[in-house]
Amino acid sequence: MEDNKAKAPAAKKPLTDAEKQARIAAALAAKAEREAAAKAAEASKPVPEIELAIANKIIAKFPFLKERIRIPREHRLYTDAIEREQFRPLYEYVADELGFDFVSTISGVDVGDDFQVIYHLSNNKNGSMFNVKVRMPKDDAVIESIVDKFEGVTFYERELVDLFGIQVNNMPPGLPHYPLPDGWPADQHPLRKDWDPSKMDWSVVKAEAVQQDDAKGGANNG
Amino acid sequence: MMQKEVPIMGRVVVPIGTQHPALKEPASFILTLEGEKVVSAKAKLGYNHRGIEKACENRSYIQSLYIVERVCGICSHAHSTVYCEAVEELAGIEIPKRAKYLRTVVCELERLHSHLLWLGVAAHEIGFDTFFMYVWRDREKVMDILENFCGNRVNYGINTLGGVRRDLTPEIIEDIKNLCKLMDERLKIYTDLAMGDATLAGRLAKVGRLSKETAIQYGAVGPVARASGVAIDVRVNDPFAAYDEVKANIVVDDNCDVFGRVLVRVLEMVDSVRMLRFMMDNIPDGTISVKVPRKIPAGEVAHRVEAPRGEDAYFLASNGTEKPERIRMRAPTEANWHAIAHMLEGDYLADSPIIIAAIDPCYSCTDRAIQINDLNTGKQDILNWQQLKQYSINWHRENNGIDFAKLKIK
Amino acid sequence: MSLDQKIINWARRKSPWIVHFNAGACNGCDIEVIDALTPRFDLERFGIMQKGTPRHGDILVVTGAVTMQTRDRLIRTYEQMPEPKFVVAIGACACTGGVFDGCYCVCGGVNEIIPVDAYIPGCAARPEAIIDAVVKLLSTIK
Repeated sequence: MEDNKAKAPAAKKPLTDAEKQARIAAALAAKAEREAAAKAAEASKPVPEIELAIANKIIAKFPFLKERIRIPREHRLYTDAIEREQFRPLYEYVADELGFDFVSTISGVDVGDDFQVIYHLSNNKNGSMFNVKVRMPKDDAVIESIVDKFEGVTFYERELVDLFGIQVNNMPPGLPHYPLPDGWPADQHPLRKDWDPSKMDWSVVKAEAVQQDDAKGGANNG
Repeated sequence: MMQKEVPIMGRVVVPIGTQHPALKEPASFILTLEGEKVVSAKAKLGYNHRGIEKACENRSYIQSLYIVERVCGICSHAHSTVYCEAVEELAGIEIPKRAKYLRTVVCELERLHSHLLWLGVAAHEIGFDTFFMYVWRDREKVMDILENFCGNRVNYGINTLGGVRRDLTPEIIEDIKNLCKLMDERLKIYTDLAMGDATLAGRLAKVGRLSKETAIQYGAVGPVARASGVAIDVRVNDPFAAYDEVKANIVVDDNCDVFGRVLVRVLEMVDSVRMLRFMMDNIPDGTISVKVPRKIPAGEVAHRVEAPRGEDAYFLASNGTEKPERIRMRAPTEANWHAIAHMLEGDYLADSPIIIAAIDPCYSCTDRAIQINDLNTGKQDILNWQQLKQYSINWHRENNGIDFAKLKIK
Repeated sequence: MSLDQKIINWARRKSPWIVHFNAGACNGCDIEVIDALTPRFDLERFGIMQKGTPRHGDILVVTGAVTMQTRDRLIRTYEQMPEPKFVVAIGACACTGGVFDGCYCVCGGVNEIIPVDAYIPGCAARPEAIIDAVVKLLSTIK
């Protein structure tokens, strides 16, 4: 049996101290070079004038955002977490007055005790994205839909419902499950950090029946 | 089991009942008809939800790259590019300029292959199979170059964190230049066909209307938005990769219908060819990648690119470890689906296939059942895509004399 | 074997009808299947035609890792096909689940759900490989 086994590769010779030092020096030099390149690139980047001006306007109207808007580069603004009741007036202002009339998408995040819902609002004329982070405690995960202001959000809001179990009020009625299949248990939300797949009853997940062609007519499916 | 034939709206007979009576399957579209027109439409999606976002949380950044690429096999490079750029931003890394250009080259090659694919599929939907075969033959030339350059025809895998994995050779540059020459000729034929042929215009004009205001309100992206006069294109508004130097033109049309969506894609291909030519003459020298550490510092980044179908938006949160904290992916088709009911309602059932196809959904989106509720009779029919397509071709032939089988391509 | 059976076998060997099923794929393999029908690769010269209905299908060609949503329909489609029938799993995902194996909405490769006769690996599987597999399968029909 021993003969059939492939020969193990020859044991590596241990490095001498000099070799070790050389390797460490090379790695440090490479790291320094990377950091210098990044600094140089940073220095030569255009100052995000447009975004700074936008942030100033927003802070003038919503002082609670002072020192809570980050502009890491041009075309991007990020807020720290704000409360739910602070969101809608802010959204209406930036959408109606500052040109952020396009909702690129909405992201849900599970951060332990809280959920965060981040609205990625875009101004497609100047290319900026204003990313507004809204927080809520997990045991009170209820928000209002913004579909009354911007129609193209129902899929994103449904994802918050299916994948996190966040309740979204005032969505249009009759929306089917999305993206999870029908029959997925109502209390199982896969994108929660504490979701345990072994606790789920997988046998219940089935495709939904369609009406037979000559039996019942008129009943609306979905 | 005998096939049953059922008159639909008392006009055209389409065989149904080819599905097993006990077939359990959710319909992906539920259309309510009054006479021959759709008065209400509902889309039910999520058939290929696999759980990718969750899977990435349990994989390293480089493993996640390979999953992200396979969100969609047609615009895989767009997904991979937005992901890599987001991770590079989180890591504070600037990639070499040559790498940015190479990513851009593949972006434009992908746009070409995707639009050609779409053109062929759309032709197939309306019964214009000769054109489908022509276009897909041209597409093979693009696939050859992608394979030579990247190593694979589909899911090219050219991106890595920190840059790209392979470099252009003089032979590939020559091939791309030859492709540009060929595409100039072919695109001229397609443009003439699209703009000049009465049968095509008759079939596609005024179909699937989406006004500019509605396109904006419903968050339409990509060629669908641009065909409704909305001048948005991430390559121009919010440049990524090398698009700050390789300038794209926004192709805008105000037909606001399926015909416009055809025009926009054809003209975008013309512009892609121009950009490829520019890049072959202007690509900077340098290395093609830099090292990215395994652990990515904690942070958050929102990023977007222009995939062939439109804006592809990602949100990435990192936590200082080797695995991402959260990846949110919003593919362009998801944005465009919001407007689909609006485009279908008010048009004939016979136009539904091409309207759906015109937003360039995933191919398999059209592989599902369509439920038709007739308001007047109260009856319900289930069709599969082939049946709906056949109904549509027959209807247009009978009612409008449109028959693509007779159309010649010069 | 009766004469009838021999003729049917011959016909089947010469022109099988394919039913194409996307079980939750990324579309990469689907477009390569369609590519196999176009002039460069031209599956039709073998008499291979793509048909929409399982009732006339000989070969069920499946792409994608089977998701929860498509599983039952895959089973039904398979059940509707008359014997003898063959199943070809196209691409890494259809073979084993591919990169998506273990994802919460994925059942796995096609052979978790229905019996498979041929596996074509690749991501995506090349049109030449697809044609090769189908032709090999045909040659096993005596």
